Amino acid sequence: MDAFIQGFHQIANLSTIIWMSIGSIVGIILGALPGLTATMGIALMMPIAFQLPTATGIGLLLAVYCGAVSGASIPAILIGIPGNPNAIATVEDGLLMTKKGKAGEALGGTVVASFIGGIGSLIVLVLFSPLVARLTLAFGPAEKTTLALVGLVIIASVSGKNILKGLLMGAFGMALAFLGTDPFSNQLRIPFAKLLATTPLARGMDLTSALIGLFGISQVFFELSKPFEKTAKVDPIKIDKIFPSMRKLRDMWKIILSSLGIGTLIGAIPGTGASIAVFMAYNSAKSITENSKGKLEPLGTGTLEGVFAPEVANNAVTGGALIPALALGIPGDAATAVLIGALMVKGVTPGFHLFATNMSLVYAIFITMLLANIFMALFQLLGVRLYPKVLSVPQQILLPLILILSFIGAYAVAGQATAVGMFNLGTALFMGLVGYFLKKDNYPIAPIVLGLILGGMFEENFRRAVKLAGGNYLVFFTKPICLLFIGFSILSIALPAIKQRRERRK
Amino acid sequence: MVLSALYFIYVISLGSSTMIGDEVGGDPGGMVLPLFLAIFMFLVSAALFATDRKDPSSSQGGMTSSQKRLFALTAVVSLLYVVLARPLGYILTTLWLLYILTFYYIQGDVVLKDLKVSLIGFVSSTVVMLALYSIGRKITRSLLLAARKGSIPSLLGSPSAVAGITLVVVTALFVALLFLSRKLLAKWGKSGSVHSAHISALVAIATTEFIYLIFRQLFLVELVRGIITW
Repeated sequence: MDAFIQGFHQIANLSTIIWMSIGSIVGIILGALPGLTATMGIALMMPIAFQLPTATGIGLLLAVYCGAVSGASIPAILIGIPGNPNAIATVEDGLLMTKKGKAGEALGGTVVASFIGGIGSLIVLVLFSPLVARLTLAFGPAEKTTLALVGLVIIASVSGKNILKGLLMGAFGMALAFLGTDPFSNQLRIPFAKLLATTPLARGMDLTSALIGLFGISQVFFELSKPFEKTAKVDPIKIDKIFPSMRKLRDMWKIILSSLGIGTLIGAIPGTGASIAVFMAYNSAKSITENSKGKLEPLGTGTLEGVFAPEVANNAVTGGALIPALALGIPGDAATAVLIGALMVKGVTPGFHLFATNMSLVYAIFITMLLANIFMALFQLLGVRLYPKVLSVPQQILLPLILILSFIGAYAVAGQATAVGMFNLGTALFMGLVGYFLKKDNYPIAPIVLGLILGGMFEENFRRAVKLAGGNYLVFFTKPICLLFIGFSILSIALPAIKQRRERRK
Repeated sequence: MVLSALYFIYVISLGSSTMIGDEVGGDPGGMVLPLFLAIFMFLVSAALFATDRKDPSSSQGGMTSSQKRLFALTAVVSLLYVVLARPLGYILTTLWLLYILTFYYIQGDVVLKDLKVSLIGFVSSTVVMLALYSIGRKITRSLLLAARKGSIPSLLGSPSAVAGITLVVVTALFVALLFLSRKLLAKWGKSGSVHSAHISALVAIATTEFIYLIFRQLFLVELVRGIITW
C-alpha cells in the first residue's frame, strides 16, 4: 500500500496532468495524420520526457501512445484512410457509417471502444505483470540470454515480409549496441578509435538519437521519395449523436469481451501488434453477429459493431504489450520498444528488479496508463468536431516540422552538454539516412531497435553465463527454461519461414 | 555483404579482451559475439543476395526529377544544419532550415525562378525572427532581474512563469504580425511563390520561437547561441 501511495505521489501534480494532456492531444493528432505512427510520436516526445521526472515522462509517452492508437480511427472513419495500421479494420464499417450520415456516432463509438479496450487491458496488466515478473526470479544469466534471444528473434521474424531481412536487421541493431566500451574490460570497441575515442561514441551509440533518426528523420526522407499526398478533403459532416446507447453497448457485450481478450493476448505476444489483433477481433465479431439471431447488425454494412470490435482490440493491445515490456524487458511491438528505450534512458531497467526495488514507479506507470486512457477519451470527445480539420494540414508543412523536432529532440537529450548534443545531431541524421535506405528496400526497422535495446542485455548475460559455466558454451542447452526459449526462438523463425515458402509456391 | 565483411575485419582488428579479474579463465572475451554477428550477417546477406527478388511493383514508383531535387535539398540542408548549428547558433539555423524546406516543399520543386522571392522571404523572416527573439529575451531578463530584486513576486521569476509570460507576449506580437503581413500581401497581390514565402516564414518563425521557449526556457536545455550572443 505504501508503494501505491508513493507511486500516486509521483504523478499527483499539475505538471503530470498538463504534460499528459498535451501528450494525449499530440498523440491523437499524430495518429490521425496518415503516415505518422505511434512509434514515431513516442520517439519525437522522448526528449521532452527525458527532461521531466521519470513517472511524468513515462506518463507523457503513454498518453502519446494511447492517443495515437485511438486517433488513427479518425481518418479511417472520415475519409477511409487509416492514420496507421492499427485502424485498418475500422475503415470498412467506419466509412460506410460516415456515408450514412452517422460519422458522429462512429467517432464517438471509437472513443468509447478505445476507452473500454485501454482500461480492460490495463486491468490485465495490473493483475498479470507482477506475476510474470515473479517468474523471472528463476532466471539466471543463461535464461536471460535466451530470453533476449526470443525477443530479438520474434520481432525479426514477424516484422516485414522477408524473415531473412528481419534477422539481418536484428543483428545490425546488436552490432550497433556493441559500439562503445566492452562492459567487462572497458576496452574501446569503436571504429577509428584514435579519432573517435574522445567523442560521445566512446560511451556507445546514443539510443534516443538513434531512435529519433530511425523513426522520425527516416520517415521524412521516405515521404519525400513519394509524391506529396493531396490534402484530404473532408466534406462537412453533421455530428449530432455521439455516444452509443447503453442498450447497444449491452447488446455488444460478447463483441467487447472477445475483442478485449484478443487485443490483450495478441499485444502480450512479442512481435505481433495491433494490425493482427484488429483483424482477428473483426472476424470474431463477424461470427458473433451472425449467431446473434438479428440482435446485432451484420458487419460490413456500416454498423457500430464493425467499428467497436477493432477499436476495442487495438487499444487493448496497449496494455497487453506492456506486460512483457515491464515484466521481462521484452517489448510487445515497436512502440513499446521505444518506451523501454525511454525507461532505460532514465536509468530504469524493466524486469523483476524493477518490481522488486521500485514498485512505486510501477504503480505510477499503472496510474498514468489509466490517466492516459481517460485523457485520450476526454480529448477525443472534446475535439470530435475539431480533429477532422487536422487532416487538412498539408504534408509540405508537416515534414519540415517533423525534421526539426527530430533534430532538436536528439540535441536536447544532452541537456547542458552542447558538444554531446551536436554529436547526437549527427547520429540522428546518419541513422535517419540509414533508416530511409533500409525502408526503401523493405527492410524492417523495428528489429534494429530491438537489437539496440537487447544487445547489451544479451552480451552481458551471455558472457556471465559462459564464465559461470567455466567456459562451457553448451550451458544454454543444459537448462530447461533455456531449452524452452531456444525452442520458442526456432519455432518463431521456422513457422513464418514455412508460411512464406508456401505463399511463394502458390 | 560487403558491410558485414568489413564488420568482420573491424572485429578481428579490435582483438579480444577478457573480464577484469578473469585469471581463472572462462570468460569468452569481448570478440566472440561481434565475430558471431559478423559471420551471421555475412551468411544472411549472402542468402538474401541469392533469394531476394525485387518486387516489380516497387521499381515502378521511381522519383521524378522534382522529387529528386527536393530530396537532395533536404539532405544538403540537414547536413548543413548539423555542421552549422554550433557556429551560427540554434535560432538562425533552425529558422533557415524550416523556411527553406517549407518554401520549396510548397512550391513542389527547386527552380531558379523562385530564388528572388525565396531570398526576400529568407531575409524578412530572419529580421522578424531576430526582432521577436530580442523582445522575448528582453522580457525574460527583465522578469528574472525584477524577481531577483524582489520588485515582483518570486513565483513570476520561475522558469515556467517566465517562459509562459514570454510565450504570451511573443504570441500576441506574432498574431499582430500575421494580420499585418496578410494586409500587406493583399495590397501587393498574391502570386504562388509570394504566398509560399509568406506561409514558410510564418511557420519557420513560430516554430523556432516556440521550440526555443519550451526547450531553452522551460527545460533549460543549452541551445547553442552561435553568433546571436544576446
